[in-house]
Amino acid sequence: MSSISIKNPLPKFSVKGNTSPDKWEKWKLLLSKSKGETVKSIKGTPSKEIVFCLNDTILCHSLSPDERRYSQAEKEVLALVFVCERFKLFLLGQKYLSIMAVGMNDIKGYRWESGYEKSWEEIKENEKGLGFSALTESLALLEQKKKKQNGKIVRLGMMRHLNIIVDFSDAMLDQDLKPTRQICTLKLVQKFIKEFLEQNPISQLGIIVTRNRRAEKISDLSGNSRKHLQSLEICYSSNYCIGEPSLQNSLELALSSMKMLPSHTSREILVIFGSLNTCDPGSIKDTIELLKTHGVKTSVIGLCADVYILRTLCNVTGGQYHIVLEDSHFQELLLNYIKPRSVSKDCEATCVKMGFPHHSEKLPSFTACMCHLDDNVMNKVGYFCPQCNSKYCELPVECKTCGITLVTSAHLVRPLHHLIPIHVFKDMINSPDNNSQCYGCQKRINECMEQISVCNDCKQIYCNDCDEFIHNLLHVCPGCAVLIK
Amino acid sequence: MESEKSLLIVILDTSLTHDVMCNNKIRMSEYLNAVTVFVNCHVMLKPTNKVAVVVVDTIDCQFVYPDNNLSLTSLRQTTGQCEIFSQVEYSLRNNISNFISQNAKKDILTTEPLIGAACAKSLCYISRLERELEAGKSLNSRILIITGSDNECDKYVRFMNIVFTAQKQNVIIDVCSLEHDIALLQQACDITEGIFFKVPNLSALLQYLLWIFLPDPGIRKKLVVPPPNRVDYRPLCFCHRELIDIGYVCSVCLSIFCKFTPICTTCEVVFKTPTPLPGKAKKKKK
Amino acid sequence: MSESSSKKSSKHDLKSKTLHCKNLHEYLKTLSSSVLDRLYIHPITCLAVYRELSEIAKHYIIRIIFVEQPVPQAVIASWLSKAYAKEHKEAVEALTELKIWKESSVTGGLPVWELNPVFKKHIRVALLGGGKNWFMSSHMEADTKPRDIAFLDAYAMERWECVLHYMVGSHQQEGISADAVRNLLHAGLMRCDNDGSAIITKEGFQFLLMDTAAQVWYFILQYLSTVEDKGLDLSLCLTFLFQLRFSILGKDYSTEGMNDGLLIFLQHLREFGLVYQRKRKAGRFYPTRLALNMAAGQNQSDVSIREGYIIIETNYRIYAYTDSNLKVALVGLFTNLIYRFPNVTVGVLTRDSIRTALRSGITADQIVGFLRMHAHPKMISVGSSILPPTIVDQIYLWEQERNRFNFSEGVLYSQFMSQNDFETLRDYAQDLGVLVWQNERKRTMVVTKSSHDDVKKFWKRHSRGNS
Repeated sequence: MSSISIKNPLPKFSVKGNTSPDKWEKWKLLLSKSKGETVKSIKGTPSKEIVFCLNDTILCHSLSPDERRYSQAEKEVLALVFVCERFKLFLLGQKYLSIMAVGMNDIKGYRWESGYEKSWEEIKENEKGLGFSALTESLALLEQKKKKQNGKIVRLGMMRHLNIIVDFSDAMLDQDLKPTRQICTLKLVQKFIKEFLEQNPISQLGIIVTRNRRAEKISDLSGNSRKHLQSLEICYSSNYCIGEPSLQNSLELALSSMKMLPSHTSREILVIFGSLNTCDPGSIKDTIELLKTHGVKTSVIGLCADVYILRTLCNVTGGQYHIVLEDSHFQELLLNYIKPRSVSKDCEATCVKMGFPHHSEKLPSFTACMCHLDDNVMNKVGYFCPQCNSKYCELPVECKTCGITLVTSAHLVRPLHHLIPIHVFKDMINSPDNNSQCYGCQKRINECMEQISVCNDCKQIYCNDCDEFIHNLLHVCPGCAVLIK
Repeated sequence: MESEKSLLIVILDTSLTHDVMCNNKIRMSEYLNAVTVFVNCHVMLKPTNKVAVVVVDTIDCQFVYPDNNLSLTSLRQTTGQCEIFSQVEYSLRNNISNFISQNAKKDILTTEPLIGAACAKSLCYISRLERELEAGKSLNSRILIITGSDNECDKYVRFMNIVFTAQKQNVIIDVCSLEHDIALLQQACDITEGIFFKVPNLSALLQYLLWIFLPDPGIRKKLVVPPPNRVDYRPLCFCHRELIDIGYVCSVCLSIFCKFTPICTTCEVVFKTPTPLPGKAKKKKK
Repeated sequence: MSESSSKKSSKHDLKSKTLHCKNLHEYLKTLSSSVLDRLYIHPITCLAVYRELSEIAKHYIIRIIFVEQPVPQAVIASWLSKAYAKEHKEAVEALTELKIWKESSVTGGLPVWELNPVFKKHIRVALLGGGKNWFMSSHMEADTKPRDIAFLDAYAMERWECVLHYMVGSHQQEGISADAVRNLLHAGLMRCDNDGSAIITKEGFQFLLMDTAAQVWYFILQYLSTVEDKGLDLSLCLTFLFQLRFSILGKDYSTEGMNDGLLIFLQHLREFGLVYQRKRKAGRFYPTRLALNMAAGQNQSDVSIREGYIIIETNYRIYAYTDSNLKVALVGLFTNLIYRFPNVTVGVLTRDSIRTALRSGITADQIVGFLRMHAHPKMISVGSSILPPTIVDQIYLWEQERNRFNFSEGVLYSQFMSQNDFETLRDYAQDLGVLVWQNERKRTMVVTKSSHDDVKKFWKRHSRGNS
């Protein structure tokens, strides 16, 4: 971090940009005073210009054709020089700090701070063809990290309430995600909803969209994925994305629906934000504080540059902030939220009353079920609430009459593997004269890759593929299942 | 160009319960013969049909076919039986008798066959075959569990994990029960859209197998098969092991109790004392 | 009025007849019932026949195979849900045609299906064991130099390509016997030119584009039709072929106990690469993949024999990754070859190149089938449709271009005396559905040739009634 110390107080300015090379054209410079904290977001124009602002002063500099060809780092330096020249009067005699935020990489620090990278030297040829060795290495690192996390037992919030806030401002019409940000986001969100409710059957989801400076709840908190998916259908139309988003309005709306939830549930908000600006009626700082006091974890997935206020939002409420690189990365980020988050130890626990309905043995006639009252659909089969005998055709559901949650035992079991994860296998070096077989798939060990794994508990040997399959999908070690405890 | 392979994994329970054996409803040899013929019939249907057999009892589970150690050329035909069938028969006979005699020496710790472990192994095997498929081919897999046990045979959570994995991998689980209605396995069939069937007359085991379990899921739609039974999804409470209609669930570890308790016996968390009325009322409103 | 009949010229049908390769079922139907009965004596043929049945029929058989009494027809019909009655009918027909079961009735007049006892007995033997052992699997010492599967594959392909090479005339005449040539001539895949040398026919081109398993099967079928002239026993040869089909790749079998006829047959198979034998008198042989895949049909073949090598792009370019002259020649049948490199040949599909192929008797179906069959694994892994749809459509369009005219024979009626007469006759023809074309103003009409007599009679009656 480069800092030039001259004198107090510290005005802070930051350059905002995006890591992915195809977005280098579009980046922002943002300047703010450190103490006053009046952060001004700037309207996200697909810029061939640099925009600055200091307190309320906004300054634009159009890039000349030559400057447009500058690399990311060069543009940032250009911005620095430009700012120093123009804001000379404000800056002279003051100590200031420059924060340049590009994408985000907390661990390694910013890219321009590291040494000159000969990135082409990282391209190495392996059996699959060309590949970034650093990239594959970092992926492997990520995988290992994942594994380690799996091993630790933490207290998890199993009954989750998650509000998804999706930005449908005009910034979502951008085509950097294919075909557009809007369509790509919708597709992934639909997939996420399906998967989320399948894996967390006793959790609830709600969807809020923000556009045209308003926030609108298009689907209430519920565990019915069909309803959510249906309500998302209207968002596909091409003129759905208009105006600016309002972060504050949508957060308030999400909070209002979660305030009243019982204390044992985990409350989460996931924001998918495509624009760089927000149009808010009041101070967003207050909203963030409010979220914090209510214990609502807010995470953000940004589709373009790193925005300061979103980062603060995540940091304060204990969520995570990520910037997507491409659609597959986007999907991975989203699917990460399927796993239950850990909650603090002092979170209250309660005994929740639940009903376990069973299919009625014999039904006299066709009757309507509570979930399809309006549609006039009659059917014979259904589940009956053991408390008030209302009929439902799908589970899990919250009884509309008596408020009890109706589930089956399978629903309660489904998310349990998060609570009792299986241990990480120990790596072992393969030898060609090993005559045994993989305990899972019966493949001969000497035909496998170099690395094999062995379970610490049952001492059975697994090939790498089985190791992955067991930890990611199966959540059962076949060897340990044989051992009787 | 459709090139679908169809894989059938038979999980064979050799720990037939006392009841089945003593009352002479079916002898072990008859039982094994029936299964062998059934397996061969599956192979006979189509050249692309593949089969695997896992044998399981209360001590261990093991793949008996395909057998990595069996050499192709060592077998010479002595009867008019087709070679592919005699190969299956030979390895089943050999390996199962080895398996049984091996385990006879060990101490029996439990009376429950390790069906969960066998299913987990089978799923590993299926996922390997799917990885090894050539481009443009697809594999339809299903698991048939033939068991005579009456127990809830396994740890519920572990077994359900396996069932959910099977569901996700589009693997159908069929169950042929020799004796009992096993609630756990019924749920497994229901979730994966398989068939649960209790054989009413053991002497005709082979016929039942051929009628109900030989057809692939694709052709099951066309054939008239017995209607699915209603599956009871009510859980047992953790405290008294009884089926309950309304229960209390720990919000931390999802244990189920039939009455309100101040402390969760599973994860030892202390519950907030219930003042449920205001909280509930609010919950309703929202 | 005068009735002048002029025939519309019936030019020869432009649509070339496609080479039809019978499947096993169709082939067996052509055999006499005595041959069929003799075939069912062998468990292995029962099995082969069984495998060729439709899925429904297979389940019918397996359900009644262990039932001793005949089964009432109504019972079997109730096995299938009503929506699939058509498939039930087809299955029943197939089973009757192949004489696997026959209709009869028990006392009381209940119609039943009775399984052919010979078939029932022997398919049980195949499945369960018992009975006589196969004549090719008598015991022998382990081979001192066992051949592995890769070797057998290479051998089989080399032998088979020899035959194909000969057909394309790639000047590699050595290695193909007079017998094989005779068979090619007999099959109509080649014909003798004026100077006695054999050249390829239209059917030959189509043959080349079939997949290997189908080629072998077609070739063997042709061979079998001549087998009795050579003094061999047809049913014995068929049984032997089926045994090969159900044998295990990479395993050696003994020739002990085979009679002279079969030994000759074996030598022929050896020539085409269906079996491998080190020496003529070696006493042991290895079946190859060609024999195992024979007639298995494309969607059934368990093990594909060769890797695909063709990549097609949407810009009509074809890249064939191969060294083989034969493969290049095959691709060259319908492409304009541009470059040739050591391991790849680049060509482009053009209207002209496709039309040339179509003119030589190849159909668009066959071209598309060929491309699909030999598509490079990379293309298969991309998506559901292996070939770019635009290319496939364009090839079909190019074919349809050639079929713009539909020729139908007919008789022209003209020079009617009055409009009324014309209309009467026209309406009559229209009602019969035989009117091909008419023009009211010129009072001319054309009816199909077959109905000419009818119309003429009607006209005679009509004019007689008027006069």
